[in-house]
Amino acid sequence: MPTLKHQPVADMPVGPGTAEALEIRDLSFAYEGRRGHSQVLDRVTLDVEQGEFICLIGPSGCGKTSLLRILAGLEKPVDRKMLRWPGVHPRAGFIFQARSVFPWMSVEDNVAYGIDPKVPKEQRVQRTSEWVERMGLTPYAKRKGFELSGGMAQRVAIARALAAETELLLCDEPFAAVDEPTRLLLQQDLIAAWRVTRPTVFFVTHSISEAILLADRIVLMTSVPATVRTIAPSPFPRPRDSFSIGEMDGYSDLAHVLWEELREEMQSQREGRRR
Amino acid sequence: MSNGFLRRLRSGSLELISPLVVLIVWQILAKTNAIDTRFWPAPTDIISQLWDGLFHGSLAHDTWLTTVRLVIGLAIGGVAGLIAGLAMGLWRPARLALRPLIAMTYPIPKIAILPLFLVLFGIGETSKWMLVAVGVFYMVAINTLAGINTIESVLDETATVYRISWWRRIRTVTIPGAMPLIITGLELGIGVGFLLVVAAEFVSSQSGLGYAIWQAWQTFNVPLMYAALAVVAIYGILIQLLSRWLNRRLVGWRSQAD
Repeated sequence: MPTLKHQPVADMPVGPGTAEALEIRDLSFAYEGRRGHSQVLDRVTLDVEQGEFICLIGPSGCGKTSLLRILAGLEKPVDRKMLRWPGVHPRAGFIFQARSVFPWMSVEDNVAYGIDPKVPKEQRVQRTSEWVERMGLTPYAKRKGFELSGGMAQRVAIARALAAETELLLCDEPFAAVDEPTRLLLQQDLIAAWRVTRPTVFFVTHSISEAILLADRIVLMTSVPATVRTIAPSPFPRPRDSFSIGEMDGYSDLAHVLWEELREEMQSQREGRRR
Repeated sequence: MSNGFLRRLRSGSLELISPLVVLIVWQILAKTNAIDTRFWPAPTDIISQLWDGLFHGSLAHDTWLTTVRLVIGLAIGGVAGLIAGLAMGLWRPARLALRPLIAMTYPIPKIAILPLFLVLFGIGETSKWMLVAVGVFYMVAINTLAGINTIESVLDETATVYRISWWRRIRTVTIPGAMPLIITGLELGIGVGFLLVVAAEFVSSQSGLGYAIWQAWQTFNVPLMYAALAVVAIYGILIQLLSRWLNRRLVGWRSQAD
């Protein structure tokens, strides 16, 4: 098994596949708190294709995280029929911003955690060691979760999600809490991992450049209660490089458009304007 | 590593100085008759009494009987407390049902229910086991519940996302996550349980450390009383060492987890 860590990603068909992965139709969501009802998502509509990498950006607190949590089954939307999966609910994986590695388990046990227990043990062990190796964790396989650095913990979280044969990978600002060089490596790790099993990815970020670097399509959300404002493809060929992508034709136009729209939404959120 | 060991040894031996000073001063005062040796027998006399008691008298047997009572009570109360704490932590109806009962009965001094237990379970071993069990139960149940509440929600949500079955979730998330406080509960439970078993032996037993202390008072054998108290003190130290070992073995992750 070749390790895919940090090497240029092999040429593979770029962009989304053909099969429909998920239809979101007029999805609304509200939290019921003590002070009453607070509308978070307002009629979100989005079609996503199998294996597509979607980046979600929008003002903070606009409901991006709520959308991910609904997709993961951690929150129940008002009307579940507003989410249409082509088959059964896909196996979901979640990469949180906070540390989600079990501190009392070894790296191996953490990576194996999400694998369906019905899979024969031999296969579980093999799949675990493959993902431990792909994420460059082999020297740390026996370490306990509490001994890992923040970047390593996120690599374990990525390995855990993909070892579980996740069809839908949900990432909630997973690299926001690590330093810049670590983030650059983790971005490459994530893309390399994604290209192995091609799950459909929803990746929430605050960074426009991170969104352009990672995404097939960028979905810009409005201020709360959020809905989809703009869907912009990131047309740059893969493999992409964090630094040279900025010099490609159309990059600064795309970044500018996204920033202008994001700024408007942030302004309206600041002023508490309601759409 | 050897450096750390030496440092530990040195700081450990520093901590031995003040008890030694107390014992030496006590010895001198007793041997010069500056204090009344009927109440304050010389440490050397206590040690020889301890030796006699352990190897020729019944002190070793008494210690053993008390230990057995403590361990059985600990097992009953610990298991019941763990189950109650887990039920309260994981299942809202259980929390709603049990928590008010526990809150209402917790302030009762446990020793006050000994007479009731003597009525219910008789004067034999059962009443002592149950008394210890009750003391341990509260400590373990309350701390298990608190321990479950300290588990980071992101770990719980990870288990939900990967559709972990409830039993596997208890084994892999709930119990390890609550373990630091479960151990704290056990430590407190052992302390309370020891107190209760000795107190119960004062009044309702013909054996055990509590009985030995009480007997020494009734026969005015003050050195034997001190000898029994010394056993109690050593017991306390051993319990502390045990809990330190448990903490290192089971919850080493806690030291750096935050």
